[in-house]
Amino acid sequence: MKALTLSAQSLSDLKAQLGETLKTMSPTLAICFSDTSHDPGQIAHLMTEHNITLFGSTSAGEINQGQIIDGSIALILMEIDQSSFDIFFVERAMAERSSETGKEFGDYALSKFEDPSFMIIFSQFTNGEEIIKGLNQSLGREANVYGGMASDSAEVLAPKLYTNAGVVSDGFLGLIFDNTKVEISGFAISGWEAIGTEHTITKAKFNEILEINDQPALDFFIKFFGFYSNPDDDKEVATVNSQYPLQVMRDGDLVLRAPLYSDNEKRSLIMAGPVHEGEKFKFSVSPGFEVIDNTIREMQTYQEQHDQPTAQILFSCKARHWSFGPLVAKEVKALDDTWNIPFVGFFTFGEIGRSFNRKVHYFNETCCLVTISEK
Amino acid sequence: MDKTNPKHIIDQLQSTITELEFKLGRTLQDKDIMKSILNQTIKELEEKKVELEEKKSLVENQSKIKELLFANVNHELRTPLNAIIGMSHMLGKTSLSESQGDYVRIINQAAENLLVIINDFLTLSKLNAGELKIKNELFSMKQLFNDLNSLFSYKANEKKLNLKFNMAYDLPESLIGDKLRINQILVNLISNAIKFTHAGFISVTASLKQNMGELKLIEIEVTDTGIGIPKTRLQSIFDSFVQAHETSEELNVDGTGLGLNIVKNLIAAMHGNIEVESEVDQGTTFKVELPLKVEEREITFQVDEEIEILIPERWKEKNILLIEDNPANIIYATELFRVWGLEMDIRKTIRESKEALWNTKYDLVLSDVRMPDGNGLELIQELRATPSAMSSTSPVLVLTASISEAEKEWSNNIAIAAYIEKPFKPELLYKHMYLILGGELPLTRKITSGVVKEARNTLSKVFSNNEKAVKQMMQVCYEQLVEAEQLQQLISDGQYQEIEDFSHKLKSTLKIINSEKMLDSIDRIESAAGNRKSLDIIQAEYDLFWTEASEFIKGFKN
Repeated sequence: MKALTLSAQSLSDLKAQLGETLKTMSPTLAICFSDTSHDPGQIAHLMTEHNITLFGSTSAGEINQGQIIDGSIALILMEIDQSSFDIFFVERAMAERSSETGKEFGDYALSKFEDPSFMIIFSQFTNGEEIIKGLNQSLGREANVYGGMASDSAEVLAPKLYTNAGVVSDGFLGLIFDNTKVEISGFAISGWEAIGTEHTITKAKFNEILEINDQPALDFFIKFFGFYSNPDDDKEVATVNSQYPLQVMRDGDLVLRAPLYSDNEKRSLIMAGPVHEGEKFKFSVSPGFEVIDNTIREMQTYQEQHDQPTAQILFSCKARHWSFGPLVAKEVKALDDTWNIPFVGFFTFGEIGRSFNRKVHYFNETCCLVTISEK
Repeated sequence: MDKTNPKHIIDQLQSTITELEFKLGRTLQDKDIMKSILNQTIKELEEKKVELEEKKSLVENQSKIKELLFANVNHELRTPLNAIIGMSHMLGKTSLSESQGDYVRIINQAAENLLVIINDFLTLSKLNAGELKIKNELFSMKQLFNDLNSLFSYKANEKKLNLKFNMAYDLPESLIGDKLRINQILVNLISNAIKFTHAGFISVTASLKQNMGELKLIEIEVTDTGIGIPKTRLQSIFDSFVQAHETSEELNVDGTGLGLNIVKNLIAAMHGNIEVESEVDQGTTFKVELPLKVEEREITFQVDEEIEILIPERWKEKNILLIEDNPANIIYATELFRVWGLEMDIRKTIRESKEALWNTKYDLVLSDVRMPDGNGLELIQELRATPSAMSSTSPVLVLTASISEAEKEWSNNIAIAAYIEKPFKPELLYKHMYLILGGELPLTRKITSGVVKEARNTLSKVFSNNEKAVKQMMQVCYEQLVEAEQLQQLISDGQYQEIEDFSHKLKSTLKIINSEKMLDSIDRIESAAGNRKSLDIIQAEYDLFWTEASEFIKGFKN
């Protein structure tokens, strides 16, 4: 397996770099994260022209070889046997059908490979938890799955996911690997700590919290953190919100749910993942900057336990970017320095990966790294 | 890259400045946020504190209401029971036909059963509320066993069961623990054993299991040869409202299903443990372990006696006041006093009682607690505090259907002679009156064992209440049973023919006194000896016989 990354500022720039690359390698798979200023349809068209399978998402910040290059296209090209992977694409993956989508995805993967593993991109309209449940149900075991929620430049208006077959904003995209030939592995790390007393979600619908402790959720949130409410400035509320996720107690586990944005009319909070009425939670505040050092230490441990992979992909929560500002670049750089291999990533609105207890979860506020190797 | 390159250095500095600016900005923002969170959390905690205090106050009020309700219900149940048990007891002493006697016994037994259930609920309620206090008092296991033997021997005899109490040689004579609660535990276990055993024996054995420094771990085993408990039910038999057998109705047994739950909780309250082993159709063993302290000095051992009520002549001159509002209880007490040949004043309200106590010197006051216009204990308190009242120093017996430990503690300083819990039997009231007013003869004149009493009743019927004939016949029976000890020697010597002959001779006497249990054993001894069966079998039957015969001999001698 060969891999190589490209970082382009425009489509023409991408075309030119691709042209040069094709002289030295024959890529079969491209994983691409692009700013919403670039037309994903044209990227898909370009890849189709060169017979390259595309797995792509718009992003809220692109990462290429240890650098955060906002407004760019971050692309990794892989020369990999076409029989070792496949794409599963659902153009309209409704939230209420997420479990079925996950199950169909699993069934399809099993029809292709005896032992599949997965990388997925999904929209905010899809229930990531239910996708994992359906997938596990289909496989009859816990799936080896990584991925993230499509994002955009904090507008949270139209994140898109795309492949050769099309570009959608409420779909589901799965990349399936034959685990007998390609190994994917990874870890997820957070660091957010709970603060204050326990509260209850008293009214909620899917990923929208309408009431906390019987009070309008947004007002409760503002009162708790002391944020003033400015109905004319949604962006500011959204920016501040995501840094202060809810730590929800679920079946004895803590699950982080970050507020994506607020609905000022309904006085509700829209979360980057489903929440349920009656769930108990505590708020959390951004951790100290030492969390970046924790990520670096975890990466070193991971390195000691694994051979050097061919490539690595990062799904890192956008809230980390907001919270750690320029220091998040230090985290990304450290991840790159470990092996110095082809490496792309993006800032997501939700991540799927393996936590410390080695269980796959749908997270918020994590830094989720995935490595790809040929067996 | 050349690290000495000025551009690189400037870039590095710029980067560091940016990082520091961001850190400073976030630190300031965090400070404001943390301040807000702190204020908000303090506010929330204060709100929660108020909420919790309100809830606590509500719970306390509910607890008080519950306690009051419970005390009232307890009182209202015990008051009529006092009349039922007392009056049926008195009725049983009058001349009745056989069927009338049976009716009275049934009424009395039903009321006693109801009392057990009320007591169970009372205990359970105290346990649940964490209000049960375990007392540390001196007691003798031997005496406890003797009391239990008196209580259960009649029932065991009725079912032809051999009830045995054994004490290991190393069991300390005097123990310190809650005798009343240990008695309650054993009453539950033994009554269950009798209930579920249709043939064979019930044995109660106490032994010293372990020395634990100051404490001794005492093990009490209650074993029966009853129907046993299915393995599937063993786990849940100590749960509330669970009976050991799903088919209790079919087994024709009653009960609330609270007994074993209470037993377990009482044992737990005493830091003990209970285990059960059982085989269906083989029997059941309950093992109770209790850590108890040992008292070195020995307790004077008293056999549980049936008191013969002998009213001294001088009691008839005594001024006695009854403070009671319940008509049934007034009738019971009046009738009791009439039978005893005594008189008393009766006052039905606190106001009337006060007037009487202030103006008359009473030798004894019998007072209820809950009166329609006040509290009997408060009246006594006021009486004690009023030296000018004529009965200021009169002894007081409190007759009550319910009194809390707190009330008892509170009334410690008002010199209450004794608390008599309703329902009470005449003997109990007599005993306390005897202690206060004094008697002409020793309090316990007569000890009558169940077997002797039964024999005497049978002979009374046979001889149409000719007391002289009854006494002569009883003497003959006594002498023959004393002689029956010779059987032991004959068995030891294996003299089958002699055993057969002796048994045959004894049967006619036993038939006269209608002692079925002794008669059955002697029948089997005669038959086994005639068939030259194993001497072990004959010995086992003899042991059963001799337990009963010894009781008769002891009872008769007393």
